[in-house]
Amino acid sequence: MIKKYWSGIAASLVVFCLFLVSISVFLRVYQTGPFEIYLFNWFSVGDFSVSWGLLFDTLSALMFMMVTGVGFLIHIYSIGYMHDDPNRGRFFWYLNLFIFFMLTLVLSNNFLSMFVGWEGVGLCSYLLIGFWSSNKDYLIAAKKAFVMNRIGDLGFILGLLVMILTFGSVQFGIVFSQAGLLPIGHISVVLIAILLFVGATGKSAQLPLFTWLPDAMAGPTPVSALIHAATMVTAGIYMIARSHAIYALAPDVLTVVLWVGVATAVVGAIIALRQSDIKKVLAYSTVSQLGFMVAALGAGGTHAALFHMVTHAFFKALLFLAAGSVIHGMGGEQNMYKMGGLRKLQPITFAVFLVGALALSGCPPFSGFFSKDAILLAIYQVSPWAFGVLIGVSVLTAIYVARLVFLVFFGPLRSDVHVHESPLIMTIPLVFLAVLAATAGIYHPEFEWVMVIITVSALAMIWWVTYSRYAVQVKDDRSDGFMSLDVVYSAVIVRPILVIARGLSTVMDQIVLDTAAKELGQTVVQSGESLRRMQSGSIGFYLWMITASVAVILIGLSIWPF
Amino acid sequence: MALLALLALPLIGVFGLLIFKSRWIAVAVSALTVVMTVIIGRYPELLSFFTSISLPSFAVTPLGLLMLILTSVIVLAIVLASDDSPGFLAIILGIQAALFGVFCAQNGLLFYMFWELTLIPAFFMILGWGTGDKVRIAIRFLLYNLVGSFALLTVILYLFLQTHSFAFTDWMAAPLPLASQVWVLIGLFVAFGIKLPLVPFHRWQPETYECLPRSGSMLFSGLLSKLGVYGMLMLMVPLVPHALLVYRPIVLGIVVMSVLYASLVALAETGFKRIVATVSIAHGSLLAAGIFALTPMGIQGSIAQIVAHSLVVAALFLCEPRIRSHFYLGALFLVVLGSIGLPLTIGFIGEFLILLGISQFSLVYAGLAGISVILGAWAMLTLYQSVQSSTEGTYEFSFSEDIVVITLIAAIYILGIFPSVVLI
Repeated sequence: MIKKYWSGIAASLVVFCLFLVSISVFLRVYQTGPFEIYLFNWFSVGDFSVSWGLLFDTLSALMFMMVTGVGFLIHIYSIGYMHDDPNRGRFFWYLNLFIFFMLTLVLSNNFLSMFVGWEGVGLCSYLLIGFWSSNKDYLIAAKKAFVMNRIGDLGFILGLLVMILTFGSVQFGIVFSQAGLLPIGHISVVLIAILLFVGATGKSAQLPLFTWLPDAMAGPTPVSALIHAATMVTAGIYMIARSHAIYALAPDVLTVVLWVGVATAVVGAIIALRQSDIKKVLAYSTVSQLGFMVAALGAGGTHAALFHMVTHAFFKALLFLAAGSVIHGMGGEQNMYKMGGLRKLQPITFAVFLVGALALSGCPPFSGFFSKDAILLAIYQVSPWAFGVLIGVSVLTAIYVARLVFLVFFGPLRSDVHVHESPLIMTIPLVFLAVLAATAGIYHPEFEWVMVIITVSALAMIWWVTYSRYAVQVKDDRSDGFMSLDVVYSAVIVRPILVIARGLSTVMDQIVLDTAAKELGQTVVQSGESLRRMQSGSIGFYLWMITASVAVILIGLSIWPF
Repeated sequence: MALLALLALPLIGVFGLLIFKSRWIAVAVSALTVVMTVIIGRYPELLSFFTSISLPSFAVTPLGLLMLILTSVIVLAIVLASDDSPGFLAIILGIQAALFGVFCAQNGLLFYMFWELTLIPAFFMILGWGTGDKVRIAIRFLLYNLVGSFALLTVILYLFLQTHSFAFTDWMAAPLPLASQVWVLIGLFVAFGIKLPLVPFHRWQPETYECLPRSGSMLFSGLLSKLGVYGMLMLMVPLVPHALLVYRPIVLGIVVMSVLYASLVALAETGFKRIVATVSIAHGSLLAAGIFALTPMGIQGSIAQIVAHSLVVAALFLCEPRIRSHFYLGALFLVVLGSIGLPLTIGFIGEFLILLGISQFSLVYAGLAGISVILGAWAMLTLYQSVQSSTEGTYEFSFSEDIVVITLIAAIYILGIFPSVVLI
């Protein structure tokens, strides 16, 4: 019994200890202010040097708590979810490695070691998406995630280069204080802001680089909850929030950030409306919600974005884990059109899923209501147009969430599997997350009663309409290839690159260069006919010749230095 | 004296191997060279202690020392992991002796002689132990490299006529007019570009690496290709600084194009060794780009990348015949991460500093060269996944081979976390 679970228990204990540390760090930051810990020098070249160091301030302490807290609950859940996987030891290894790199990312005191965490979480994401490596499609999804992230990473690297050229350092303190001395709209700062944002679009799945995230659902569901909903994909949000001193100097870039976020929110929500795979709905929903956060950052609402990041971590992790419980109970089935009526068969999962769904749709008094309100408020002050669009996206969100709930939990069961409720080790973390998702809003309880009334009545109407469409009679409107950018990218980017590659390899290499070399070579061969005759000699003889002549040269030189 | 002993040691090994025919002689000799080079690196005063009887034409520069240590480490790795015949090991030690000569020579004539001496055993290695169409490949290898040697010899003779000396110090001291610097630049670029190789001089390389046995591929890719880089750093940059500076956009442009070309071709290649060979061209070109950016950062990055690439490519070829076992598949993944320059590997330090160096000259060139970060990851992960799905789990246990692969991987990661050793 213990032998079967020890890897999971050990991994969970590690994360739990880190969670305790994060609480004490948070309290210390709260009481005495931010502090830094210098570890050791990484490398120095000329007058540029990078060291390893940790920075604890409100932002990083918050991330620290979120990563380890949610991470711990997901570890516990995984003990149950992965209990009969033969490679569970490796699974928990990767999960812990992910926590390590995520903490490197959020606790670093400079951009370069932050980049170490940034690439490290990408690596863990690759390993975990392709965890079931016997399925080739999963491996391809993993590779796609890694390579698309690398496109963003190149932006990040180039941003770092400009940063080093401009400020001579990657240390947060030095960069931000020196940036403060530059005028608004300074070209270097604008360049840094744009390039770092390219990095964020990769990691945080924004347009045009978001298409890896839905494919990443190939990984085990706890991975989708931890990496592809709660923590890693918020790295871009964290990075922009961390660099707000730079973005504040580049208002034009902020406008770009705002509209990229808005566009991503729209596209994600629209695609989510037509999916049949329960995890794909949640994945596109994550894309859309990340769009909300990015838009908030673009509007200067850093606090709103971070607030939504935390509540989203709770309710989206909850939704993914609950979806995992559904999939587990359905024996691996992910198609919602084969589910139905699960509210009676999985009462705990249904209850917690409902909490998550209400939080995601922004229903008061659940946490999502407060954080989404904060974002909309921040955006309204900057751009009423963007505000209007995002209100529309909120409606779409409520629709796809209601569709999901009714398809899965209401109506008749549309397949003949024997559905069972998940074991306690999976449902207890769900209950914890449900409590958090329901109550996390009270830390920021600012709201207007009129918003409460509008939201509740709008949601009631949406739920009533969708109930009749998806619970009473099942309307089949699935379209999994709906608005798929993959087709476009494949035709416009991937195929041409491979065609060029093959062209270079066949035409350029094998025809042009080889012919040229052959012409040239023919001449040399003819003049070196004697050399060719040497082939027939014995190799041992030549070795003797070579070594003997080298020895002679060496001895000769030591006598006659010229 | 210490240097002379160092140069003579591999030769003694060659004789020993030919007479006694035991691979343990090769192991002992290469282990001894590692110890000696490290001692010379740790206590450089040993060299000056013997100054009175040392050779004016031989000396150890910091870069030369790094190359000496790298050479002896890689040769030791090859010899330990190999189960080759004594004759083959003798060729490896012979090449090591010639490489030692190149890295210590401070004199154009010696440099050229040792440069040429690497070529002949290499040629016979392909001919004697290669697979496939080895005669044609060996001749092609030789012809390409002879063209390079011819260019090198021409430049050396020209410089001798100009300065009436073969000593590097005299060459550096004599300022050449820009017009003649350009010719010297072109000659050296061809010579070193073929060796590295750079596109468009690269066609001999993939098939040569493919045809060689494992130890041979490790030696060629890990060490012989570094001759080109060493020449660029040691001769080109100090000899023709003015011409390089004036024509930097063109030279750097050619090299960056070579990076992109090879990265793209790697996507079209099939077969483990050919893909690794082609990615290796891209990495070598990136190395050259770091040098020709002519910025301190770029040159530092290139030196780090020399170490990174030698370790990574040697480890890649080492894993190749054994990828059907779980242990080597895992090892291969760790090496692939080093190859795509993931942070915490030495490859990242090299790539990042090279890109930083290029960006000090032009951000556009840095961005173009940086595309190889994406394409390289694409090619290497495709390669890894293609072998990943063919695992069968059979694995013959070979203690020394395991130790070598573990050591190489440890070096890739430890140097990535503590890179100051290679930032000279």
